[in-house]
Amino acid sequence: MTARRIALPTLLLLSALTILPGCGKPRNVVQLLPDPDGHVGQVTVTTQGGSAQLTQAGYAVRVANAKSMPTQPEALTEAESEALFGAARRALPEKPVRFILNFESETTRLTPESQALLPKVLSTARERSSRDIAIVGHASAAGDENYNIDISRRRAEIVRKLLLKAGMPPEAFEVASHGSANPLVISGNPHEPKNRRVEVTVR
Amino acid sequence: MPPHNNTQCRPLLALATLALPLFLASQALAAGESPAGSVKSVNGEAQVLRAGAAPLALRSGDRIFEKDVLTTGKGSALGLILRDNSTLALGPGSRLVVERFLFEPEKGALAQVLKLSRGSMAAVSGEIVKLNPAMAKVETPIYSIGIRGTHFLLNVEPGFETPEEAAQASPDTKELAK
Repeated sequence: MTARRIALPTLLLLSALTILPGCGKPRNVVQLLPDPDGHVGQVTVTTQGGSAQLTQAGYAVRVANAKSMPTQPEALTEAESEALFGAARRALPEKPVRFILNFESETTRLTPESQALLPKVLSTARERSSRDIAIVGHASAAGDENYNIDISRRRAEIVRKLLLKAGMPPEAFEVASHGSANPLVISGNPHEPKNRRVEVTVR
Repeated sequence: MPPHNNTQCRPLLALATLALPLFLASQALAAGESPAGSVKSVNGEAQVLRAGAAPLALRSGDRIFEKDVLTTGKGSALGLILRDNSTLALGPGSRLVVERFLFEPEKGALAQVLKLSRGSMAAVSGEIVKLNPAMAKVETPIYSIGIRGTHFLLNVEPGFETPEEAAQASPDTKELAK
């Protein structure tokens, strides 16, 4: 074989390597992205060989095997990120939406403002085709805790029935009561109206 | 309806006898463990393997529990929302175990350990990482990830998993219990 006959395929292979994203580098990759709100978080990648931190959006580290040290963070090309993670990225669900419904003191009657919020809860659940809706009742600190747990549960039940009547699938709901154990705001007022609430999480 | 004076009741009674153990079993399951999350979307084929049960095809709205083994088929993807409102998705040919999940913030009981033995995953962390980042991690056969927030992607090529894990093939190569 002459030198020329080797040189051409080698040249082609080398140019292919530079064009194909991330070719020749380990394909076990961790990449950090900006949060939905734009803030950039931090992840640490650890092997038996050591660890590396990712703090910059779009940056990634590679891991060859369990004993090797993760590589230094590098910017990952969009093409390689797409090849590795495209399908998973597109399947990532939107963040759940939480609604807070308030009640008149000592009752299971929604405040007029919260009553007016119900159509929004329903439209959100429909837009998301939600089959997982958590309804958690909470009470303010005043009064006996058994009573608080009971009234929180009844408030949550009322909301469930309202959503059910509006056509939400019954198997979507999970209802719970936290009594006064989980206040929304820390307040000197034991009757704090903000804590007298039902939280609806539409997933 | 008193059963002694009406023969029409017999099929009903038989049905009730049949349904009761099923009902009790479902109640036991519901009472024994609260879900870790639910399936938001299935694109292609995804299944869950649970101890002592046949593989089950996953559908939107299905609940996910601690110790569930989730797999996706070739060209498939699976979107999940966990109880702490973290969101995650598996790409094609992936296998994820919900190794540990505990979310009872009022008791300070928090844990989230996910094991990706092959494939790809996208994630946005939720309340557990916000409240106590030390309690959340993602493990793979060759590396693990500690999370301080929030949006990240990871990939692990096939071949690093144990033979047992590898034997739990992706759904498109196995008969599914639909």
